[in-house]
Amino acid sequence: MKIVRLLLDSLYKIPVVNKAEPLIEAIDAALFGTTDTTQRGPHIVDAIDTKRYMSCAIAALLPATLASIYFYGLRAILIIAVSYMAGFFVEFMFAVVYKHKIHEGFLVTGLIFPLVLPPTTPLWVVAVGVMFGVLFGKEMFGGTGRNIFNPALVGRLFITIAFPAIMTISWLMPITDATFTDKWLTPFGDTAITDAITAATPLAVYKTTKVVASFPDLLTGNTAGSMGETCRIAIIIGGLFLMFTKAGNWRIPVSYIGSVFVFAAIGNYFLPDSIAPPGFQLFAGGLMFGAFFMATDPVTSPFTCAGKYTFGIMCGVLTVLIRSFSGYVEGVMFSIVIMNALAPLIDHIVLSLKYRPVKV
Amino acid sequence: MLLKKVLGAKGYKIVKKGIWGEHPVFSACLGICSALAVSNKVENAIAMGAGVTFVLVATAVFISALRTLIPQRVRIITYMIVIASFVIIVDKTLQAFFPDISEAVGPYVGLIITNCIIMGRAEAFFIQNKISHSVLDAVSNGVAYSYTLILIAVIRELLGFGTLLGMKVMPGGWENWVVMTMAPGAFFLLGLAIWIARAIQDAGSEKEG
Amino acid sequence: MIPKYKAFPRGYEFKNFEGQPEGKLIQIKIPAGVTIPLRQGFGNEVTPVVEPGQRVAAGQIIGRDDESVSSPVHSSVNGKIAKIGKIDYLGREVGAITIESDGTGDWQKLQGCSSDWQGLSAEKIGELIYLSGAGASGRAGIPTEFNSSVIAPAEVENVIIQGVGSEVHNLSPDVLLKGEGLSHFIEGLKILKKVMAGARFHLVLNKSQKSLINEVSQLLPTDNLINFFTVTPKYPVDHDEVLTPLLLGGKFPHGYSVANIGVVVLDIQAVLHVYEAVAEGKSLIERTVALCGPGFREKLHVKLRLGSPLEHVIRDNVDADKKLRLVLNSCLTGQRLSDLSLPVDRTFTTVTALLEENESQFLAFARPGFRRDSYSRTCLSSLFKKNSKMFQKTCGTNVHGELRPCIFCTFCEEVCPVSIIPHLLFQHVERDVIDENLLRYKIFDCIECNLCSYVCPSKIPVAEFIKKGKSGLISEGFEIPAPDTALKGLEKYKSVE
Repeated sequence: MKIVRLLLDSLYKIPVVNKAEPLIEAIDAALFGTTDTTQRGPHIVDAIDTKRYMSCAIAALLPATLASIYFYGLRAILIIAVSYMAGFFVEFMFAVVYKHKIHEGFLVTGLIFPLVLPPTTPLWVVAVGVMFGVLFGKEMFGGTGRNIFNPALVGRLFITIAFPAIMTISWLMPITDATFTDKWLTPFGDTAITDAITAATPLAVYKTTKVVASFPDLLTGNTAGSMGETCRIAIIIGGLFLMFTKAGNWRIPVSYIGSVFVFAAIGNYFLPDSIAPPGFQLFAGGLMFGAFFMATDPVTSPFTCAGKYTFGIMCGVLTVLIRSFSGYVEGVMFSIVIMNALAPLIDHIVLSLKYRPVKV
Repeated sequence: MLLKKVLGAKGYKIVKKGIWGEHPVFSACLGICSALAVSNKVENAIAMGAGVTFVLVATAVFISALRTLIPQRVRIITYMIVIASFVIIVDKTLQAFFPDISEAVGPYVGLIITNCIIMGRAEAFFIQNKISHSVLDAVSNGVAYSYTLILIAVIRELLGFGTLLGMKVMPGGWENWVVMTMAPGAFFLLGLAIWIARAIQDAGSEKEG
Repeated sequence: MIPKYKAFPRGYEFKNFEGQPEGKLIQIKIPAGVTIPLRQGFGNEVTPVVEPGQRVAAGQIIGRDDESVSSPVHSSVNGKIAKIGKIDYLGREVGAITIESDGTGDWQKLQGCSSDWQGLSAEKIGELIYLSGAGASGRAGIPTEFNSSVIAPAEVENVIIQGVGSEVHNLSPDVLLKGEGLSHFIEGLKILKKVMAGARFHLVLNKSQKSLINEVSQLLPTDNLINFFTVTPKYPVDHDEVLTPLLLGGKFPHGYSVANIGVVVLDIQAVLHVYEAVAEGKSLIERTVALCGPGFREKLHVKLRLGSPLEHVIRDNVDADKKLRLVLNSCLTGQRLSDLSLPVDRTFTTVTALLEENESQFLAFARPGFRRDSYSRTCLSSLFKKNSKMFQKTCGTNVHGELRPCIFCTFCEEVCPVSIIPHLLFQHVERDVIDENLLRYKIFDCIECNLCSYVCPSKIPVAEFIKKGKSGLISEGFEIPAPDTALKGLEKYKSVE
């Protein structure tokens, strides 16, 4: 420990290396914490900081991450690693150029992004997507706390539009019968990928054939889909943890999932041909993942309580609409991004209803 | 420095301002509409850049030659007539000699008439300055517009089609970035370009200040 | 009489922090010299009525000013006046009288006191309260026919006696009410009832102190003259601004004190002072103070003579090699006591010794947090029972993290006791947007309890920004919105500095 301390202290002083001061500081702060003390009141403060806050979000994502690694082997690990490295590069460059600290929010973006990708995504596309997401989704607006859209979603939508061929066709079933070498040791996991069974996602299957996937398969993740969104049990466990620690607000997932259920039930009753049954809608596609981990991003969702409910309900309605009546089979990402854009407006309306303007 | 001698102090200043200091796209955000529309391929960009430059220069000559004669009240209409005449020349020339490009660039040639750069320079500069200075200003603004357009077009064509001036340059297995062939791609790139250019401009002015 | 439970939906309960004072009470020796500030508790500074060199007895009035709103101050020891001067006391300059003590412990009785106080007239009781100095208790004094508060006894509509203790460390009411204390307290209540005959009385206690509640409810007079409530000790429920609307409804007149709406809020010790003054003739020369926090060797209650230098009080109880920060009354809003030569006055309830944690911890952010407190449930301590002995939470002064931009986690909004949106106000003030929008978002409702700064994961001093916004608004000529109800004693209130 002392050696690390000495090493860090000397790094601050070496002329060329200390250009990377944000990085050194970030490591320093993560390893040793702060030596600052409170000045005026309050004399004692809460033990939480953004590092811990974000760590909880990451811990909540861990079950889904582990499931994706279990399903897709080395490939999943590589995609996650590339996402972290490329995203961190952008974050770091901005910290250096604009002379601010490296903010921890990126740690969550860098993990959410790979989890919403198809497992076959080429690694360079992963890098392009996450860099675009961090750059245009976050840094462009002034960095953490000021972004309008969820950076991971911006990156995901960008590559969906930029590379439709890669992003819409190639879904995979979890790789279960590949050999150990193929799944875990082959660089880039290409052999395993080519051996795996390509399949349509449950929502796409439903759209064409009206066949509903079985619930055990949906729950355990034995379906095609994005890397992290298939194993719903893992997502629900992580999501509940997130709600419990208060790192994610419970209002948005509850109202989002609830409104999907209600709206799908009503829709399915009147228009059974176009709207899927509610139970299936809840567990298919990226709804669980989106509701627990992407819609709850505190920066891009409304901060008022009423606004949070509105946000969740409108997300749910949009999701069902897009799933049922558009050319896309999945609508979670689109609806969250659309609602991200409306979040400031929702807050504005809630505030103007709650606080009447003062006459001066 | 040679340039400075040839153009004289004022001329040099005009050129410097036009090409960088008061760049029509980066600083004034003029001509954005056509920059977004025709920057998907380099050849279109070249044609558009050349067309705009030509119209600019010709307008500069006419307007500044007639600047004492144009009545104040009808000056905008006068600009329009002058600009429109030259735009029609450009359009017909393209149709006659480069029918492919003419088809690709389509209505945007006609829309040069309303290109803010030309109207803007006519109102801001040509109407007040002598012919030689006006021409210098027109050329430098035209060049600035063209190089911006070409720069963006190079990136868009490379990423979006994997080609450059129609020739395949990207290696096999290259995946086209569909988004770059659409308007949103141009938005992102132009936004980035303006961002970087302004950052450099700011850094420069800080140094001088 | 069974107490009624009042739920307070906001605020934050500080549970199980280390350094709670134990039930032990010791008497601090009479110091060699005391310094009596001429302004203690509520009221204006009084003028000295003694000369240097004069002999005084403990309990003798040494400063009074019957004209302005104030209460007399007393010598707390027998001895000789050494000096009359000025000291810098808790951030303001006040006159102070230094007295050399002769070490004897007896004190002079107030004239006219009687253990059979029922025979005394309300007027006489009021005079005794005023002369004893107990009239300066509470945030706006106890109203008497003399100028001890901004309103007269007849104007009082409600009296709230509270022993909640929602701070991180609290003086234990058990210590005050031990033995005869409880009956004295009940007597004190009756005395106050006689002075403010027209007022309704309310007693609030901490919900978790079950045995005390039981005893009190048995002893309380059954004639329904006193409403008895319990509350969960969520900080800052015992602040006047929160407690008054919670019990009585209505709105607190922000920018003024409870007295202006005819309410008197007192703590248990103030009631005991009243009893001692009227029944025993004892002036306010002694007070019980809790020494708490991990910095003290022994966490206990001390009974001390007012004016004792702080150093004399804590001397035997601290280790010289520890870096300590002494905080007055509250870890969240209290002042830092850096000058140990300063005297203890009537406003002292707790003195907390915190450890200055200016050393870094390896992997501080990733530790499980068995002994850390957090509003979020990201620390394991949130899984343990409220009073687990093994995992008492530490309290040091480390900020536990780096300053970051606001991420709209809404923790501050959830805990805010007055339902404003601290982070929204912070965003405005940080960008220097100081305009009527701040008024619209009710910036002047803020009671500066500092809870928003406490819970912020981005370590933003939210409360500081709100204070800055308030002063910015006032300097730009905006006014604190006037309360809807008519206020009492406004002129007197404004005459108090």
